[in-house]
Amino acid sequence: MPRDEIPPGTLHLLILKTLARRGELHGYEIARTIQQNSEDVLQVEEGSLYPALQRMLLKGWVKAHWGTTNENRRARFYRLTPAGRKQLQLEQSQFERVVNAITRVIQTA
Amino acid sequence: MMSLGEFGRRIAMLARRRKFDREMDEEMRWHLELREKEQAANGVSAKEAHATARKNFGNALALREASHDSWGWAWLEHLAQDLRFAFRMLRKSPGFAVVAVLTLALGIGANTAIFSVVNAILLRPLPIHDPSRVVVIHFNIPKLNLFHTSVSPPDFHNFSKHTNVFASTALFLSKGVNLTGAGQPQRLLAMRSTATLFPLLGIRPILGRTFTASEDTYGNSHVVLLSEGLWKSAFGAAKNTIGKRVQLDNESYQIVGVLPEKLQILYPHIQLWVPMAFSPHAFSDQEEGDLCCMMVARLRAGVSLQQAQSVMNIDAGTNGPALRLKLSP
Repeated sequence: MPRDEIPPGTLHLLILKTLARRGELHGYEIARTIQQNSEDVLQVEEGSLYPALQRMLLKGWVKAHWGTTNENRRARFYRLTPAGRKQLQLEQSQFERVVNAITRVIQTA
Repeated sequence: MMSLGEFGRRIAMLARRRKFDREMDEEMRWHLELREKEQAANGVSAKEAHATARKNFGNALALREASHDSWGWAWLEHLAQDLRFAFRMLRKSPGFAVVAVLTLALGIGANTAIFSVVNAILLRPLPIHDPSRVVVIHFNIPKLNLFHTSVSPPDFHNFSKHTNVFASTALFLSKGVNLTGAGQPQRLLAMRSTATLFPLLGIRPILGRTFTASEDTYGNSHVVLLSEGLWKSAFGAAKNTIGKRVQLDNESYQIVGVLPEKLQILYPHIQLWVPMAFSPHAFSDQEEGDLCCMMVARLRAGVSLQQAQSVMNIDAGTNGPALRLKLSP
């Protein structure tokens, strides 16, 4: 199955949405979840997830803490903040607006 | 616009960026491991799993840099790198380094020196009233190769008679004194001055008063003025300092006033002021040549420096030594 790079600028949106749906996750789980929920179409360049998470920490959209996984492994877990929830709504409605516009253009053509 | 919280987090990141780097490395390493395991479970060979995981992950070093950029301190890290590089280059060619350092040192030194002078002369105005009317009076005695000398009390007495050119005149000299009776004994620089000096300069005390004419006479002169600095350091800037007594060289003086800090611009290091109070033999013949003192005068309104100079030149003719007014405030 061919995989597509995610459109630029949507990585934050995907991370925010994933955290909103699944609660507390570590980086690997976020990458896996995005991939699975897109039925393996979307390919996050997995490494770029971490700088993106750092940026989001900085913006105050997510909070992180170190904990242990079920396999008793040390991992950093990320969780949405109220500011992150707001950002998610903002980015989601923005994204939908753009997609709808593009769809309209394509269909009329 | 950056929020306050975001700024705080940026600072925190800068302070602990090694920890941040380590933590992100750890996250990334573990991520790769999990991917490899996953691939291996799907029956891919270990080597291939490793390669695939890496390929999908991207360049970890570049990613770390991207992360640093996002924290907004990239410029600081680049600056640090540049400084380290500059330092290594200077170490490699010490001759060039010495020249560069010397150039900087001399440049900074020269600038500081010039600014000090400009600041003192041009930027900080003299703390006296209408300074352009105040002149300093010196002797020039070319025969003895003496220029800009001080004047003696008898000269002061004679020059002060020219009331047609001088509105007022004053004489002063500094001397070291031992101050006791105000905390720790101290060796300080005091100024003996005629009572006329403060009105002449237009200096008002910030507390109390300056000398009266009668205090500026022999035997009545046991009064003292304090600099503002001494008043603060030795008396805690207490208002009731006026009227207290201190000992100068074991003689009791009454404090009558405190002079403003700005007087330090004119007479730095002077902490105490006492009346000149000439002794009777100060004007005797044998004291004639004692060029002990600095003399200042305020020109009468309408009298130019040239006019004052010519009057003094005539005086000099009768007095013997060549004499010149020298304006140097």
